[in-house]
Amino acid sequence: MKREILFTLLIAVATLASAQITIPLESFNIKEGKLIIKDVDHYIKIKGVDSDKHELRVSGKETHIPDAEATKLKNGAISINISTLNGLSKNVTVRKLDAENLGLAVNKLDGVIQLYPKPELKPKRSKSKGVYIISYSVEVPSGFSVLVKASSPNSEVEIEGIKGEVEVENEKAPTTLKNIFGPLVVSSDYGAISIQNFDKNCQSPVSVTSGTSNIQVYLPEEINADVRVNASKMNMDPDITWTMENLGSKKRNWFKAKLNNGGIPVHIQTGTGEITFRLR
Amino acid sequence: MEQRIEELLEKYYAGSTSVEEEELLENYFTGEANEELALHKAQFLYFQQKRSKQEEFRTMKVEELIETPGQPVTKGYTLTWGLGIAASVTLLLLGFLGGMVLQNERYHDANQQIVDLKEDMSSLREMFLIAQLKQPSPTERIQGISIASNLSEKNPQVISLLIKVLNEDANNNVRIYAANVLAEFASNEEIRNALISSLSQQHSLATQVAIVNGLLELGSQQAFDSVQSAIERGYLPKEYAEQLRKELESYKVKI
Repeated sequence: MKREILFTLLIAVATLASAQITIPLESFNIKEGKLIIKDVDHYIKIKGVDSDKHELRVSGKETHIPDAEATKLKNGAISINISTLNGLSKNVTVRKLDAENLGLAVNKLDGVIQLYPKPELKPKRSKSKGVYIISYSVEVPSGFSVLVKASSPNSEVEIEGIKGEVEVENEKAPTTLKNIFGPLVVSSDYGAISIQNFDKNCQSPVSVTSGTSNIQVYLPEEINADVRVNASKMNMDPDITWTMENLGSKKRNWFKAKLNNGGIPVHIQTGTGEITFRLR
Repeated sequence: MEQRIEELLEKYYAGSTSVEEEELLENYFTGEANEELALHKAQFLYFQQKRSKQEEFRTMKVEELIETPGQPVTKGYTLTWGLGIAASVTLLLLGFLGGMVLQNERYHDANQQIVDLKEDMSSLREMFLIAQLKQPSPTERIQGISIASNLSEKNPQVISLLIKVLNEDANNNVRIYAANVLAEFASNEEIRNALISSLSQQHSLATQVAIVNGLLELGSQQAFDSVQSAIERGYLPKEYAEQLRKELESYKVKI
């Protein structure tokens, strides 16, 4: 929550440049199309939109916080020292974006759209004072599948309202998923993962794994699921009613249970992190 | 109907269908199957043909066996009283032994049939696993591995497929699923070694941690030593290796 407030504050205070492009998708079957984003080094939000318009909208924003000291946290989030934010307007520097004004390259292949950031537009942090943050927002037809692969600690990913398959491998930064309908395969090494607004009508398997980070799952009370969890630390909402199941040969750190009558397979596993289940 | 068939197929490949449900599936696929489900048709036809051949074989063999013990009795001899008793005892013994042989053969046949059926099921699951592992969707590949988790460790083809998945699949979670299944069989030295050598090939910490945890779950000295050797060989990132070293210290006491 604190991070979200901070991020909103940053955007409000010091947005330097922003741009938007719309890519027509007439040739795409919106139920079979796929959006691929790789090597992203920025905050990125992908939103599924229910619309008759076959188009993809991408917008980018660049934010500079001069004289601010940023500390990278273990989970990839950036913490800004608030006391240094005074007098922000004095040192604003506008950096040029590329021809598309987004710092992104767009490739349209058969049924696949690939977005990837151009390396020269990666934010400078080491030499200049202050912090540059580039964030992207992508609107895609909700029936699309989405694949995001990122390895940077800056690549915080948020995905919302996608009905196709969502596949995320975000090594070092946090990942948040909202309004999940389709199959979900998410993994991270160090970045926290949060599954929010898990749709009660979700009929697809969910698989979430991490190496050392925490995983938080908000479940609707009505969901029918077969849940399999592997973690050394678990934190559960006492109002969730689990029907425990036989673990077979697996015992250490495994938990297997049904929610309501059982149904979609939900597999959550973390190596050394903590798993939290909450009722939505 | 199609939805019911799809549900039954899932149960079938998981090996949890009843005889009635399997009959229902067979009847469905020997008739006019829906186009989307037609890819399963060949499997069921193969299965049914194979079963009817086994049935013919079984029936034939039993008939032959029934004839065999009867043959000596049909020969006519003029017997003395003593010889008659001896012959009667011999006949009784022959009948008794013949009955035992027949019963054993029937029992053997039934067992053989069950073994054959199990092999058929197993090969169907293998086929399903291979087909699923070729799917572009990681969710589908994970489903394939869930089926593989019902297969026994004695199936070397499935084990080598899972090792291949663990080392080569493009998705972390698919590799982690494979690691979870393989770790269950890691009391086998060959599988344990495959898991350890895979640690050096993994780019994802999440997969490495899943392999290590799977091995430690065994709680055996061999598993402990394997993890220790992976640390010594530098297969794991430094920070995690340090953390693991400390964890292993506490394991030493427990083992």
